Amino acid sequence: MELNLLKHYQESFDNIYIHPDSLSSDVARRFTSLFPEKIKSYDEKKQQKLKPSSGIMTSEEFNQSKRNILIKPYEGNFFKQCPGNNSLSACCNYFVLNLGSQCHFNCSYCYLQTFLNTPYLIVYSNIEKALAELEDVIKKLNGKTVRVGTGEVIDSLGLDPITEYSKKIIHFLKDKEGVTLELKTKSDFINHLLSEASEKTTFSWSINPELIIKEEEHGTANLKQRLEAARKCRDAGFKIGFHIDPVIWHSDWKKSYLELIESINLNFKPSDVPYISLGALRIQPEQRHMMKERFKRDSFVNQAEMLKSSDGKLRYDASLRSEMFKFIVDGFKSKNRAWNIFLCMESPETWLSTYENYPSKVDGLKDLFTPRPSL
Amino acid sequence: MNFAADLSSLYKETPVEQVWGSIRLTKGFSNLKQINLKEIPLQEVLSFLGEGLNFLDHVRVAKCIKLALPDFDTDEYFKAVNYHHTSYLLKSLELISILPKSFIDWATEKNISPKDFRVFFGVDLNDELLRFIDASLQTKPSKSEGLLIFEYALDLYFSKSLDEKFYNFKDASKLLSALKKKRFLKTFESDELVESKISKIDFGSDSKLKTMRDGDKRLLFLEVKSTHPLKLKTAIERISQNITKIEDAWN
Repeated sequence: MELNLLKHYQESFDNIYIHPDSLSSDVARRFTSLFPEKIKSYDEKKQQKLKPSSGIMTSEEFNQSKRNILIKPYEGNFFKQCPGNNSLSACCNYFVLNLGSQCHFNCSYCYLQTFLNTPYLIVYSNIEKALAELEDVIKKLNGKTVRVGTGEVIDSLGLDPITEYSKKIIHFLKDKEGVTLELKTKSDFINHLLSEASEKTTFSWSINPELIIKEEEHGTANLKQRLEAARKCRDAGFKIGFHIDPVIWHSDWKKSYLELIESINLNFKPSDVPYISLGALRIQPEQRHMMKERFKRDSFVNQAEMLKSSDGKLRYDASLRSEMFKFIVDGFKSKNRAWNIFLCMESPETWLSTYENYPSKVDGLKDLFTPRPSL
Repeated sequence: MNFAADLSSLYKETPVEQVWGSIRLTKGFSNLKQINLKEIPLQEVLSFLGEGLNFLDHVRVAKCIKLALPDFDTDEYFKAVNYHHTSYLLKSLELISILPKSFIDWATEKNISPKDFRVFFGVDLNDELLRFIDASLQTKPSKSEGLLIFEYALDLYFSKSLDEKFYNFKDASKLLSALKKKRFLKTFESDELVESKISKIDFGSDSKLKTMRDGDKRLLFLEVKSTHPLKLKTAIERISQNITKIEDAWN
């Protein structure tokens, strides 16, 4: 591992606990050999005491949970449908494979702040079970394809230089049909994967204008580093993707997002990037208190009004969301009509206001939104 | 053992007193039955109290017992009455010791829970903010109004926009609406603009089109009154002819 990366991790974590059932796993061995001084003995009773008894963690508990790693086997199903698959949003057939939970980056708007209730950043040790589940899924697909991402409750590449899980999945999928892998990140930790080029793997970056990254996405790679990492992955033969998500309103939003569009156009062609997704800021109502407590009260994420939407989350006013989406879509299309841009977790009304059509009728997006068999 | 604190001034109801040993636990809870607690073990007393008291009541009871029995484990007390989240409790208890009496009275009456205190978490409650909290409670807000008033006011205070006029409102809903307008002027102006444009479109006297906010969406309401099917047809045709104007107003 590169020295600067090792230093980054050493500064990011206080303790590493290994569950007895995970002691012989490859991932536990990697953590032990890289950070021997941080390995602490695992005591079931003591670990239970650390767990918040119920509900949402306090900001102190949440901050602490980012600094303590627990390696343990996962007993549930790794493979799940994306939470955006519901009757209120247009579904893009995305599935998730959660190989851990929590993230050592620190974004002010992160939904994990009210989603998690464990005092650890968890790394699941039994990736073999996840791969076996993928094998089953492939059998059921009957020639259809689905996209599977590992970046829902943990950054796909945040700890990957240590776990090396992405390499295992890329190898596993090499001779399989039906599943494409998406590695979604805000990091630039890609060097260990550049020699694994595969058309079945997309590296994607959640991106935002640099001033949003600087103020709201603490500990992550800056925009220049993310775009440079994307360029390296493209040149190595990977597909790449961008998620402009969450789009955040601020007084200069048009200028900021135009600059972002400009940067992407300068560095990439639509043929490098099969899809760009757009999503507006959305949070659970109780999360706003945590955000204000943990970060600046006047930060960008607190500037425009957030109103309750049909799924209970707080979102910007629907017409403001459409205005922002339309501005960004038009910005890309004015540079090159071939950009494929879709809306993430958005209602049919927002699609209509932005595209004047439903996603399954928009050229370039039809296949993405065509319903797949139930898995 | 003597319990010195006088809680009776906090309650308006006919006092109902609960005494355990020589410790007066409660006074003023009309929803509790008078029972003789003298011979009952503390755990049973707590489980009995747990049914009728809210969070702020329990804070008082725990304080009473702690004053009389310094070794009393208040963590165990709160667990016994089903408040398990120690971290939230500690932060809320710290706030209770700072917030003005008007807030404690209001919070007791409105059944404020430890999690409702989140609105103040991480905030340095200085004299200026305490003065606002006290002033705003004179408007007698409901629970939801009160929590939103505090939230908007803190946002405005930290962006140096909590003007003196907000300290002088007499009505909670008017205060909330004024704070909200100041905090989120953009949504307010945009709704007002659409409403004004829609109201200027002439649909005739039999039809009325209104806009209304429903969370993150704006809704259109159309009302058509008619005394005859032919008149209804004319009214609908007139609305159809105006659809472009409605779209223009909407966008």
